[in-house]
Amino acid sequence: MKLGAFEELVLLAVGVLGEDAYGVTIKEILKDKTKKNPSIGALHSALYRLEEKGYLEASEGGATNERGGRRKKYYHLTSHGIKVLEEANELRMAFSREVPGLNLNTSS
Amino acid sequence: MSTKSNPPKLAQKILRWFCSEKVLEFLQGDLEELYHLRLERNGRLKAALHYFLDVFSAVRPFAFKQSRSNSNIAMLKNFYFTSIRNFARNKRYFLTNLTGLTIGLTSFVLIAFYIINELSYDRFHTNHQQLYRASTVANINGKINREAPTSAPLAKVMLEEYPEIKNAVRVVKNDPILVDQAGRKFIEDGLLYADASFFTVFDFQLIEGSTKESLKEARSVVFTESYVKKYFGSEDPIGKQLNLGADSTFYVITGVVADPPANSHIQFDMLVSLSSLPNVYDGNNWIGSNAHTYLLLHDEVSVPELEVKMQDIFYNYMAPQIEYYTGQSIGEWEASGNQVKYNLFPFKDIHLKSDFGKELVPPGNLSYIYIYGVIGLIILCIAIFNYVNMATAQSATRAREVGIRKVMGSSWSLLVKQFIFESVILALFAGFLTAFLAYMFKPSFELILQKELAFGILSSPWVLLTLLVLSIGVGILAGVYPAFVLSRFHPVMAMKATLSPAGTSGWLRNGLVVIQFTASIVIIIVTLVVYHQIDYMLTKNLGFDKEQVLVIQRPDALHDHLEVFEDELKTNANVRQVVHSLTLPGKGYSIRSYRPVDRDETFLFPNNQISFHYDEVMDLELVAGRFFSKEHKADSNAVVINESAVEALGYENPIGQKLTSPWHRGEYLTIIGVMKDYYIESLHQPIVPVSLELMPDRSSKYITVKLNGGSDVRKTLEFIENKWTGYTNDHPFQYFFYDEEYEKLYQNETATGKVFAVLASLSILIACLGLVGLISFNISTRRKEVGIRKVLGASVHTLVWLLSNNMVRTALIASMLSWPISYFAIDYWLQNFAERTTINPWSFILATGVVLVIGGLAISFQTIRASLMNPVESLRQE
Repeated sequence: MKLGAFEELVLLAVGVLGEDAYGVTIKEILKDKTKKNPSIGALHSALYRLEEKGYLEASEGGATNERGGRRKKYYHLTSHGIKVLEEANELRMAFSREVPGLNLNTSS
Repeated sequence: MSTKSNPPKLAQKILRWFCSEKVLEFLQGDLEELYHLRLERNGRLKAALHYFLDVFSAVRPFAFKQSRSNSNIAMLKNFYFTSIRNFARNKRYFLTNLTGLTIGLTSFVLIAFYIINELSYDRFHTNHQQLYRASTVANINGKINREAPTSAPLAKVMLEEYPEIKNAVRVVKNDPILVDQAGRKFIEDGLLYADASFFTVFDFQLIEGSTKESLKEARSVVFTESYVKKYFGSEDPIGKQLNLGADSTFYVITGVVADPPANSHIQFDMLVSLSSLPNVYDGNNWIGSNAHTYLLLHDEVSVPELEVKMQDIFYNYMAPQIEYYTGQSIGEWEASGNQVKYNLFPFKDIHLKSDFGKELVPPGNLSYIYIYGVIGLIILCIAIFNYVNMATAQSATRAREVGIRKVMGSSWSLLVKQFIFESVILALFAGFLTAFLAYMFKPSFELILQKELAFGILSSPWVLLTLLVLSIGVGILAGVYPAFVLSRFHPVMAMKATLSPAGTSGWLRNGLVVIQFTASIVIIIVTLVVYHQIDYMLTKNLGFDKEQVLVIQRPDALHDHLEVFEDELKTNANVRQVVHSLTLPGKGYSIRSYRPVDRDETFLFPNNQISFHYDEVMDLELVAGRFFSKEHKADSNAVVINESAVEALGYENPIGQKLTSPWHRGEYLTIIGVMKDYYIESLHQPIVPVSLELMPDRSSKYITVKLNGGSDVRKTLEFIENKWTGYTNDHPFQYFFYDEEYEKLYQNETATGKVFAVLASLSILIACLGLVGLISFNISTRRKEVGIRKVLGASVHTLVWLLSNNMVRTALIASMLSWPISYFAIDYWLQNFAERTTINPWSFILATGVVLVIGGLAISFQTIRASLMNPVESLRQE
């Protein structure tokens, strides 16, 4: 299982967005949550990679005027993707518990 | 959306060019959506800019067109390996080309560092666009006086009365001063007094201390890092005390600043708060000008309008003081043609464009930037031409490859690409070496220039990136012509390995050689003339003698012992004469005004104040009258002038004429002697009128000691230093030999001479590499001809001529072209001097001769070998 930090964030973003996850919305939510602004190129690159690994699947549709009539590529988490996220989270929690003085009970 | 606005076309084109169909639709859709979002939020410009950035951010493997890029990469790989194999097979060819290009690129890069350094002066301050230096341009008695410093109170008045001014800082440079830090005594000339706003207005990097406070209190000192090392080593300097000059109260170190960058016209080793000089800081003297005043203007202030408005300051503040000193009303004063105008000079242009006197650091010279720029380009071009010649010369070895590629279906354009790619690879090797060489040779280059450069290979990643782009550019430029020649070979002819020289046009190659040699000859001629001019300036009779003259600085340290000290020196047999003076030729004269008693006219003459026997030490020649003498008590009100001054005053019979001068408060000054004209500046300036007066007090700056020729200088020096230490209580003994010091006035020229000499040898080296390449090409295409001629009885002698007459013709054309070009170049450069050497035709002949001989030697080896070859060798091939 290979999952980069940025890839993990992208997967989470897709998960949060549900039915409305495509390039622009994912970029916006990432900017919102992380306060960092990923370049659209990096994002698309990650999305294609995740799709190839089978963590995401895509469907096409939703052409609008703002896009010059071009379709959107909507992404959804696959079950494989959800599993990978869970594993990543578990690994981190287990690892973190071994760090003395690290407060893991921060709510929110 | 009210107006229909689309993303920039160019960016879309770029996107479509590299992006595969599969990705394009969704990516472009996203980009366009983002564009419209930004259009609403940030406006059109930012939206367009971001669109571009987004497009570039998508230049990643995922987006590339799959099918094409694969075959492209395979092709590039093939090109790359063919190139490398070809280099490995023709090592000599590869090495000469690499050498040529590397030398060319390295010279170009180093020269570029120099030019960038000059052009980037003072741009590192964030405020440089809004900074101006205030000066006064005074027209007094018909003489226009432009000096960089202005009156000290100006800054304060500007800040108080003009809302256009955001901030102001004054910088004062005084004479070198004795710094005494706990017994460590040095005379420092890198000391500047500055207002507390210094660090707010400028971007000098304060390492320790407070931006606002460090220069606020009187007697605060900020050291540069290197001076902290000099005085304190690794100790913490903050709070340490020191003495400055004659001031008995301690100064305290309040901060440490990074050394000012090399491309700053404000250079200093230590800064002292200007409030330590109360009569400047709070002074109300509007006549004197001693403060370099820098003003930070608000955005959108119109400078010409502000200059006009500043004229009020003149009438409100300066005019009353002029009235007081001249006794005239300001109306009368102006009516007689006098005028004072304020000038705001753009801060960023001071280094290259200022024509004001008394700049903090002597300004640069724009014409040198052009000269160096042209030379840099020429060397690079010579190197490129060289590659072109070498590559075409070697084309025979590649003909078979071209033939096979063509037979296998390679297109003409693909072959062109291949050969351009090959030259790019070579240029990249050269660029790589250049990075090393430029790094290694930068210190020597700085040494030749006598100038530190702020830029180097490692200053920023941009430098390396630019070098990369430059190398690729050079590779493409150099590769285009050979690529076209090589790719045009007819496959059948190429496979038969009989190259027809007619198929490749000779005029271009010959033309390139002509240009190379013309350029080399021009550079050599110019170098010779530069040396001529330097030699001329150093040996020209200046009207005074600077040999065997030792100058001791800061005689004020002697206080009352000045005369005693001088008398003691005279007891040494090696010392012929000792005098003191306020200044010396080349060290800057101050202006005094004189008024003949019988006329209502004022004359301004540069003036020096001297002691008796000054004429003996400087070897000045008296034309009429006598020099100052102890026997004549009235000589304190006497003046000696030079011939130009006599001419200016219009006297037939100058001796005994009486003048008045404000410095003598109404007493008459009698002209007692006239000296032959002599130069008081470098030979950049013409001869001007000069006046000499006896020094009334001990305010001299230099003690000048004339030594006897052939004496043991080291011993005499020791003797003088001993006496000095005895009378000055361990004040540092500082001296220079006058002739050496005087040579420094020609530092620019000496540096140029040296740079040219180096570049001249490099250019001729590269040109010769090219020449050898060309001749070997010629020979290779005429081998059979040579063989047949030999069989039919031609002598070696005629064969050598046959092979090289083309070259001789080329060289002759080159020399003919080079002469007028050099003449114009020299003429342009010599405009910098008031006194010019005559252009010597021998420089032209010598330079041409040198190039012809070196070129001849380079080709003779090849031609003689070809002529001596056994004809059987060349004829049996078929």
